Amino acid sequence: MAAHTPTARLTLRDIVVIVVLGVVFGFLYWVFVQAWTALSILMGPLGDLTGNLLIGCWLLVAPIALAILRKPFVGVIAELLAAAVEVVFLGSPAGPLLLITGLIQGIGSEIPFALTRYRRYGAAVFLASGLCGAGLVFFWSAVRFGWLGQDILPLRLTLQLLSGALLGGLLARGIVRALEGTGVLANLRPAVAADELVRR
Amino acid sequence: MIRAEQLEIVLPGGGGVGPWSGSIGPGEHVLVLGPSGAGKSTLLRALAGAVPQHVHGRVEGALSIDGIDPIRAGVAATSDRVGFVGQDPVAGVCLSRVADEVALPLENRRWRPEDIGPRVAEVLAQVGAAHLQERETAELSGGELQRVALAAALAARPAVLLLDEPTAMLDASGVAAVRRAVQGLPAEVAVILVEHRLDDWAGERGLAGLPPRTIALDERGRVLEDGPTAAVLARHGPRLAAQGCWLPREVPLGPARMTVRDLHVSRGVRPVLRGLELDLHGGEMVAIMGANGAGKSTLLESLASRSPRPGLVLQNPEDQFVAATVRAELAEGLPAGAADRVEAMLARIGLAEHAEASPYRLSGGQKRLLSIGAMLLHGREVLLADEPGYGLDRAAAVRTLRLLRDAADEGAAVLLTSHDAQAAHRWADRVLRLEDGVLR
Amino acid sequence: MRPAYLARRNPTVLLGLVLATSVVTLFLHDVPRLGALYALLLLAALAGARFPPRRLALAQIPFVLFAAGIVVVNALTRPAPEGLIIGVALGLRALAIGTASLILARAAEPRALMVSLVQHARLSPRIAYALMAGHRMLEHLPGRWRTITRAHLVRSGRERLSPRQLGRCAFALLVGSLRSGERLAFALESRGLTDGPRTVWRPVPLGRGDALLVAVCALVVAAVVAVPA
Ligand SMILES: Nc1ncnc2c1ncn2[C@@H]1O[C@H](COP(=O)(O)OP(=O)(O)OP(=O)(O)O)[C@@H](O)[C@H]1O
Ligand SMILES: Nc1ncnc2c1ncn2[C@@H]1O[C@H](COP(=O)(O)OP(=O)(O)OP(=O)(O)O)[C@@H](O)[C@H]1O
Ligand SMILES: [Mg+2]
Ligand SMILES: [Mg+2]
Repeated sequence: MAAHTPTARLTLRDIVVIVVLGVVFGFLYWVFVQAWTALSILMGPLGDLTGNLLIGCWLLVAPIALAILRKPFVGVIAELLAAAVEVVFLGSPAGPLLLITGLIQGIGSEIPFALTRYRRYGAAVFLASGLCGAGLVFFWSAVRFGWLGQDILPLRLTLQLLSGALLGGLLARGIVRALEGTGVLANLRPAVAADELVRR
Repeated sequence: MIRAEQLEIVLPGGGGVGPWSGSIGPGEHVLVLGPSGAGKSTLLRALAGAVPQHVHGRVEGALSIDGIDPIRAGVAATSDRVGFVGQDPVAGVCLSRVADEVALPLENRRWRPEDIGPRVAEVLAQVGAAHLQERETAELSGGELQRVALAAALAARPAVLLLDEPTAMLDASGVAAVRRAVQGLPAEVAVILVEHRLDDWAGERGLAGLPPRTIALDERGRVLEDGPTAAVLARHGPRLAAQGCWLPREVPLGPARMTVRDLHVSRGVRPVLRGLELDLHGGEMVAIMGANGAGKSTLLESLASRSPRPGLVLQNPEDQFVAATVRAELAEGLPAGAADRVEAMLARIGLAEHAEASPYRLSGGQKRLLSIGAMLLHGREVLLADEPGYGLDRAAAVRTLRLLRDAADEGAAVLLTSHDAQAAHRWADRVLRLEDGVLR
Repeated sequence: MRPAYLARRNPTVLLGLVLATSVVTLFLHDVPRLGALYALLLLAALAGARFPPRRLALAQIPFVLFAAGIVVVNALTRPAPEGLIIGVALGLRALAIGTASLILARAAEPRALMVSLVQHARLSPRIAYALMAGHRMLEHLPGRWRTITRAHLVRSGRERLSPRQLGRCAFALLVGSLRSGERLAFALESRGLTDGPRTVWRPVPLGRGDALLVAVCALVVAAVVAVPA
């Protein structure tokens, strides 16, 4: 059985799992966005910085999908579909540009997993994934929101990387481990070799 | 059409179903029975091609459905010939508009667009859901959704329909609608049904309303028997019931404790019982109703003298009291070491405070409880109670009947007479009428 | 009543136009051009998508707050006069993109968008239908969220849920959704869904009206970009 070597082709179930992650996180962002608005008002004129502070939340989907399905391109597709859910179903004000954001975030988050050839899922890889995702998308956001030339550019970068590492990396890992504990992932993960199964 | 050779599914963790060998022909309807966890759903999923892609596991033996090997082909390819309806209607319907949901399988099978609309309308009408066609699926009730799921499973004219507890979420009319739709299927469609609510499914036709063939599984997923429903239920009913399966009312729940054949009893010159037949099984509670003078008490008295000697509670409990105190009444006839059981029974019937009182000083309800308690202590296999709820207020009647119900649930065969149709139907497994000297 | 002009256009075309317009705004940095574009988009929302004016105004509020933040931050963190001007331009850009997205959300029905993406943009049907099933799941999430949080509230016996408990609720929602996702995938596949050839019952048309719309939009945007400020 091809249990341990990742196969490139995504099954319909893989796609549905990715969409479910996109939908649930899309919905949860929407629920927690109230908290975000409160935070931006609290921060007054620097409210704009909360975007950097919370970027990690938007990075969660890719590492979680990767750690569940363990196949190439899953992270990129997961971020793209999550963006599609927000644009098409939730009517996000960022509009279709979010698709580009998702693509870049996905690529960033996936690079560290790809470097391990989708074999290692330890804390270090998650941490690197969060840093990479947050770092890569920083350049795109800087263009999008005209950050270049602002005095607080280094502060923004620091906050964004920190958030990426903590929320988009370590939190993602915590969620995956908790999911493993519930047993929902049993049929989604590559199977144990079939000939090892014994009937009671 | 379905052909299986030593088909066995082994799941991670050691569970599994089979091995099953057999074939199911076009138009055949088959019931799969077994206790929870026996592997009924697993079997259906394997037939639909979900093992091993969707459900990890190993399949042994050979399986073919209309020339397709579901294990190799997977769900999508198998769905060319097989329709599936699961128990959770919310997760079984995928799209937001009913018509789109039913059209999806047709589009996927490359039906010509101009044929799709008429087929969608036709199949929705077939399951009694024509009025739902343009509705949003988010606004439908569980029963309505289940009909839509059934329509989607039937749309592309499958050769085999797999139904895994399709009525789990439905009310009685929903069950009837799904059953009618299944019974109204084209004659060549084979149906495999997993269903707990057999009485609701069978409707007023009783056993005859169930699929004529049954595959019974034991708790570990081994096939107990594959044969005509009535015969399988007769042979394995008690075992399946003991493992917690719901069985149709007609099916005996336990071993027969008392069998009565062609009983004739006359009172004076008047024949009262004329060729009466009755089977009492362990674990069941049978209520007998009938007009005044139909012969109910006569029947109970006649049964009371049979062996094994039944416990008997008379219409008037005072007739039975033999001892001076409540405690002594309970202990009467028991070995000396039974004091603990007597105390426990005192507590159970709520008479601990009255243990030293005379039985005759109790209220009507307490007297009844006392006489039933005394009878229960003897652990008889058959219990007969004449009008146990008679003359009691509601609370006392409920306590009395609950004592008897518990006795039945612990394995005794309980026969009682009653004029209270509501209570009889609520508490008893079977309600019989005594009329013209026979039970019906 | 006939649907609005933009609602009758092909949703894939709308998506493409909104994306293209949004990308174009990234290359504009001056207030007059971005302002003109924003005004045109508001006009399109009112006339083309038949947005009720009040609804459109209310929908602008979050964008305006966001844009105000951008203006303030840029005014404070950049050299004096240009900072404010750049801030206003960037704010207008956010308003324009937001309004374009509003038009898309109002005019393009999700199912029509997905079906037309399969028909006209070669999107894989498996992805399109997985997304549509996801849409249905999304419709159920608010109800499930209420159920879960209510259950937690009852058990905790307090007035409000702590952030920790909210996290638990979110996790419960995730687990339940993954489980339904498994069943959903099975249901979709048992309807015969693959990436192979399929027919479409109620196709989403792509016609001359769409070509005209693209041409007009291209001309208008080109004019806005080309005309000297
Ligand atoms: N994906 C799985 N992996 C491992 N074991 C499983 C899996 N699914 C079910 N099982 C186990 O296999 C056995 C059969 O389960 P199945 O769902 O087929 O039972 P069932 O007969 O349909 O029961 P019920 O009447 O409760 O629906 C059970 O012991 C169950 O715990
Ligand atoms: N000792 C007796 N001698 C002659 N006839 C009797 C005797 N006892 C009862 N009967 C008659 O036998 C018939 C059956 O009586 P039985 O007491 O069994 O009826 P039942 O069904 O229990 O009625 P109820 O519902 O009133 O208790 C009646 O016609 C009754 O009059
Ligand atoms: Mg089951
Ligand atoms: Mg009587």
